[in-house]
Amino acid sequence: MNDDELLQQLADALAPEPCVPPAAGLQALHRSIDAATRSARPQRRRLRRRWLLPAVAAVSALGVCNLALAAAGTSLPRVVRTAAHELNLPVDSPALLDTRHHRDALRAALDRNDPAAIETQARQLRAAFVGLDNGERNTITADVEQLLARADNTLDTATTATDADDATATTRPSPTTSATTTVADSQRRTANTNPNTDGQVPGPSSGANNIDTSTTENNSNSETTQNNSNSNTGQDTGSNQSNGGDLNVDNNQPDPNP
Amino acid sequence: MRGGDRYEGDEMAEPDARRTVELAAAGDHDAWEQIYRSVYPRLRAYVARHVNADAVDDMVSETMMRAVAGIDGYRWEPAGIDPWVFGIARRVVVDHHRKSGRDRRNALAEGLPASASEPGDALIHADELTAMRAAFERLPTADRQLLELRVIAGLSADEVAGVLGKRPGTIRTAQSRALARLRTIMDQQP
Repeated sequence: MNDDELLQQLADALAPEPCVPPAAGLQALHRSIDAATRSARPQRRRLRRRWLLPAVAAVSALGVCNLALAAAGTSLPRVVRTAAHELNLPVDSPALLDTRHHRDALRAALDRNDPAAIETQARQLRAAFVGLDNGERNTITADVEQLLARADNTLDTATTATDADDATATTRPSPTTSATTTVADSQRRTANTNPNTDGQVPGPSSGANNIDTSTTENNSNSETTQNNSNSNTGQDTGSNQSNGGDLNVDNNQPDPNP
Repeated sequence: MRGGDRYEGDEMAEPDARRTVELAAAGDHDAWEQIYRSVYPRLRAYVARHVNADAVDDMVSETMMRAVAGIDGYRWEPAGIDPWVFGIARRVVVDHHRKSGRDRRNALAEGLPASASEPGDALIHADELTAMRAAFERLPTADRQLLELRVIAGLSADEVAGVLGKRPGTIRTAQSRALARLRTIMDQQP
């Protein structure tokens, strides 16, 4: 007798008696089906709540992590910060951090009275500033306006001093004038292609000058400077200083978003 | 013998069985009753080997109630729903013995005593079958558990492997050894 035959014989020996479920068993079955059906909705509700605990845990973990990193003098990785900000968690966006960084750098450049650094940092600050959302922009606008006004005044003063020096030079073409013309052309091109025309870059007088407008003004002022540089330096200087919108002027400012 | 290496059972054809299980999962009473009626004889016989006669119906009902409550977690397999139901039955029996602790027929832990009141006893008259039953009762517990699932529950070796949480190859080897021991016991009987 092989295994299959033995198994078959065993199956015959242990064969279940033909029988049907008792009525009580069937009733219990139907009751349990009804109970399961009734509990299906609360179960779905529980399923919906299941995501809540992990979400709360993740937010808590992020908060603790943030505190720990802050205590350690470091900050969240940029990717984590971006994700957390996108989830509306109370975390500053990377754009706001960048803006603060450029603001501090500009302040340092102003303190050093370093025109080249002032020009660079002012340009980067403006570019970073326009990338902020309205809520974040409001938290930093006053500070940025003040610094940009200082920066532009400093740069205007430096330019005026250079122009005054050039005015006393010989009749050969002034290198400053040539540079100014080049910058003016560059700004004109920038004004025509600059997509950041949301009018959020602050100026000292308006606080929300339109880039397009201010750049156009800059162009005209620059051209005026070019035209007047050899004839009436003092008038030119006065014109630049009296134009509050000129705080947006950055003679070497390239397109912040090429 | 039906269905290849299956033994006994009252399984439905696979497409019908699958449709029935899907309906049952949706809470269809008729589908559940069909499943219950299909599996009941084997389920009752299986449970009856492990608990007192007065607890058999309760254990069978408990098995079906757990099946109804857990049907959302069941994923269809070609073997059908039977292996899953017998897996539940096995856990129900284990839980029963854990709770009672003093059950004389703590079969899973201590071995099954011979019983003259088993369902079907009255129908078995042949000496060979009686000898077979007696020899079967003398097998080690692990052998009996495996062979019960094969010949009473009507599961294939692969399905038994699923119920017991072992590999099919392991089950086939164990089955071969259990049958060898059964032969030896039968040969030793007068």
